Amino acid sequence: MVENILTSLGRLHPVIVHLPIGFLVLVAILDVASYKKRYTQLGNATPFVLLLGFIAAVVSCVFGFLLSRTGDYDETILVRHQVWGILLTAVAGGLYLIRAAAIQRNLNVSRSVRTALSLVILVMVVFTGHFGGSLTHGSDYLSFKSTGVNTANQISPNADRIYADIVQPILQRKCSQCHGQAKRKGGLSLESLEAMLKGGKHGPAIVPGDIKHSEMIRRIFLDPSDEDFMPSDGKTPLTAVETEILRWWVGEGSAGESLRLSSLPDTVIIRSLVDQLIEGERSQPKLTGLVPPARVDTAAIERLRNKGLVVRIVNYQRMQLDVTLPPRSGIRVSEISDDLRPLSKHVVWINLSDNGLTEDDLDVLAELTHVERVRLEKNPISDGIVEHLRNLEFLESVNLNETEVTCAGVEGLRKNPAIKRIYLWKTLCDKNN
Amino acid sequence: MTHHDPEFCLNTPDFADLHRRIDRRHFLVKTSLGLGALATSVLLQGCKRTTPAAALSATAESIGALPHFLPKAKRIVYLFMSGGPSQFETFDYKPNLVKMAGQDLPDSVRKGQRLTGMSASQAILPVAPSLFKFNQHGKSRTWVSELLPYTAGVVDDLCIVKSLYTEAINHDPAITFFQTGSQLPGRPSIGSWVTYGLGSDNENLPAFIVLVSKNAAKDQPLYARLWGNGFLPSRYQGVQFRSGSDPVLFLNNPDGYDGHDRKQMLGYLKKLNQFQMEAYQDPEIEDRIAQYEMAYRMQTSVPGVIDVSDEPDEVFDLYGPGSRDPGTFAANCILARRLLERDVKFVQLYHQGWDQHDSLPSAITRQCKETDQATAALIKDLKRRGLLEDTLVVWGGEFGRTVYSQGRLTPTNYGRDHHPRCFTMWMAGAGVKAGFSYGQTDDFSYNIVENPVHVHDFQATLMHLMGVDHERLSYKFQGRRFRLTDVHGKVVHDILA
Repeated sequence: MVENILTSLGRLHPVIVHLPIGFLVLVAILDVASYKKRYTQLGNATPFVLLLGFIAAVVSCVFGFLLSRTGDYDETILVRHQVWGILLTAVAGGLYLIRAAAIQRNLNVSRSVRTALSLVILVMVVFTGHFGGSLTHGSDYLSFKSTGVNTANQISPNADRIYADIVQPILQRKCSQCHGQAKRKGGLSLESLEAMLKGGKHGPAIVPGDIKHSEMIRRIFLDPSDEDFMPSDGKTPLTAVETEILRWWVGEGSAGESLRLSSLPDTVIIRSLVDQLIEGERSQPKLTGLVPPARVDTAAIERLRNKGLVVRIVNYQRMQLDVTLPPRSGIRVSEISDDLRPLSKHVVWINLSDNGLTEDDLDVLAELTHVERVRLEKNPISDGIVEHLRNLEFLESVNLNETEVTCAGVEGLRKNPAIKRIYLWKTLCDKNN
Repeated sequence: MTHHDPEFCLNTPDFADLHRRIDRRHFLVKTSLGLGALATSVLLQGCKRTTPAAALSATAESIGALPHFLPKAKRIVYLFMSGGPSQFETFDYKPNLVKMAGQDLPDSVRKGQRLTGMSASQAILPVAPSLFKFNQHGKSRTWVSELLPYTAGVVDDLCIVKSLYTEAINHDPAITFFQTGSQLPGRPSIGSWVTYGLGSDNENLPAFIVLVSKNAAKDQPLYARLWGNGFLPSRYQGVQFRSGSDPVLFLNNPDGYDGHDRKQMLGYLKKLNQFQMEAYQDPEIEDRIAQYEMAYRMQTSVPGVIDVSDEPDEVFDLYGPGSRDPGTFAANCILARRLLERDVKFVQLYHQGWDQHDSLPSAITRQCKETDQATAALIKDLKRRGLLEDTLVVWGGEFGRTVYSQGRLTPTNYGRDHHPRCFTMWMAGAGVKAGFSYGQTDDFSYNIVENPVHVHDFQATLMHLMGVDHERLSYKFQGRRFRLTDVHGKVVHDILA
């Protein structure tokens, strides 16, 4: 209990620490400014501000010490930060004593020495702050190599080495702030494969080939409201594509360090995942991985609705749509194809059952690249439908009940590896007949 | 996503209107631009409704755009076994009870927990093992009682939760708790919450429909408030279909009237109602307008749904005896399937008669005969039609029953009292694990030893499967925001597929 309170207080360190920074910087500013005639009287305020700065620094030191006991940080940088912090506090305290004494005329220290000491404190604040920043943000946070977007974390369109070119950049941008070289929350670093295998407090982050026992995979797939969900504390979560890539790499890829895309068979799912990742980065460099885009053509939705279709947004995060053509609507697909096209990346469920449709009406299906469930039952559809569905890589479920498809057509459909369920009740390929 | 985005209110225009009305700015412009225009377009164009991309009030914004995330289930059919089915004769197999048969329930099991007034004064609480045999079924090797042979046949599709518990010990508070999240009457039913939040997928039928079996022992009453809208607008209450050959009365025009000017008549009636609305701003008037319009559309849509003459014999055989007799549980299951096929969002069946304080063996045998085959048939039928993947089927009562016999225990007869501390329910279909059992009770099925699931947890999970965060769907009434799960409820992630 007491331990928890102390740790929580420690977590306030990064907040509290800005108080002494402010006060001590202000001391230097006041000292320098008071050289100007207009601001001479400001010099009188410095001892008081200095005292505030000193007290705040002491409190920060105590909180910082509490935080350091969690052991989530890189030792070397931590020690430097500690030494500089304590030294800074001591110097600030010393300077205050000198000043206070000077006021009482017991000590005669020239003004320029006092100002010089304030500037020394300023420099010390910078150093201490720099080490502190390195602890939380990583030591290369301020390096000049990265201007704006961190190009090192960008995934190149020519990415080939799965671990080095794809997995590490994902980890770098989403995880390394807390699980890096400098800061190791829960004792875990994801900087290297070795470190991941070694893991942290809750065991190894990954177990090659065994996603069930890979703590990292488990946590990124949890519901965001779950306590164990990673990244924690509302930090930007991994995108669906990123989580799938990590899962593939640990599971199917057995966390191989030398796997190369170019040496894997064409059919493997990781290819399309990486394509999506790269596609997402190229089209939206700032919002990586948002596939499909989060805005949707609302006018097209309105047009479909006005024609009598039921269109519902089933996922606002990705603007995914559920589209139903009411049964026996009398509407021909050709009348709605032009309105479906602008929504092609958004339609995830579509129901066109019982509308007298044949495969010749349904060319537009092949363009609905993100569709997951297609319902076509009770239509006079035959095997030609397979052509439209063969390349839909997210298609999970196809309902062909009461259509005219044959087993030959179904064979063709099964070549799409994404499809998990095909309904064939009352067709020529119904197993029960 | 804020209320300024045009996508925000695309799903639930009703929902949007409602909050616009509360919003003061819109209140002021109401007389010139209000709901009337929207409602007119509904009446004149049927489902070809246009949605004004208008602003929503802050209330709606705090609830968020619904659904909150991609739902697993598009529809729900909830088979409510009213009265409290015994877990001992159905799914919670307790073989060790045979050794203890007739002995007084050990204090170490009951731990001094209170009993109901109906059995608290019994001199002895004799342990009563199930008279019925259990067998393992399916690939999941799940134990199911011989009373449920058909359900046993689909056990690999079920997600059985043996560790439900509730706080209520009597029927009405317990059912009210299950249906509304509160033991006291007055809150909206789950179906009302769901349709209020998510709107309708078929504007020609009510989104929340209730069917009550006519062939059940009416040992405990049901009240319409169990599917009532509570403080939600009344258009979200469950619409009960009558249990008989004429589920919705007065669909046909009376003799001598051909109905061709009815639309005109309703148009005038609405104008009158709108005058009233403008004068008094009573939201119930709008609900009345909406219900007139729904009734008008139902004249066309309902006959096609309830006319089962297009069902082949094979279907009636599948659902079993009674399925040709409208209003029975089996016939209601067929009707439920037909409603679900038409994207009715929430279909709730009730089957009474599970309150077996005495003569349990004979009564429960009859109950199971009336429901087992049709229940399993519903699952099979939905599955082959491809509907089980986005339909959630729920089976369960309001509480369980005691391990001890209420009244005399004889070799062939016993009764069981109410038992809220543990009981069994199952779900099947969209988003739940199939062929899976969750939670465990002690050897006496008296207390839960593993993975307890509270009624609020069940409700939270149900909402989750529909894409609703139960903590965010709320409604402000009498100065307080209410939700289905009050301040409780945790989604049971372990049973989600």
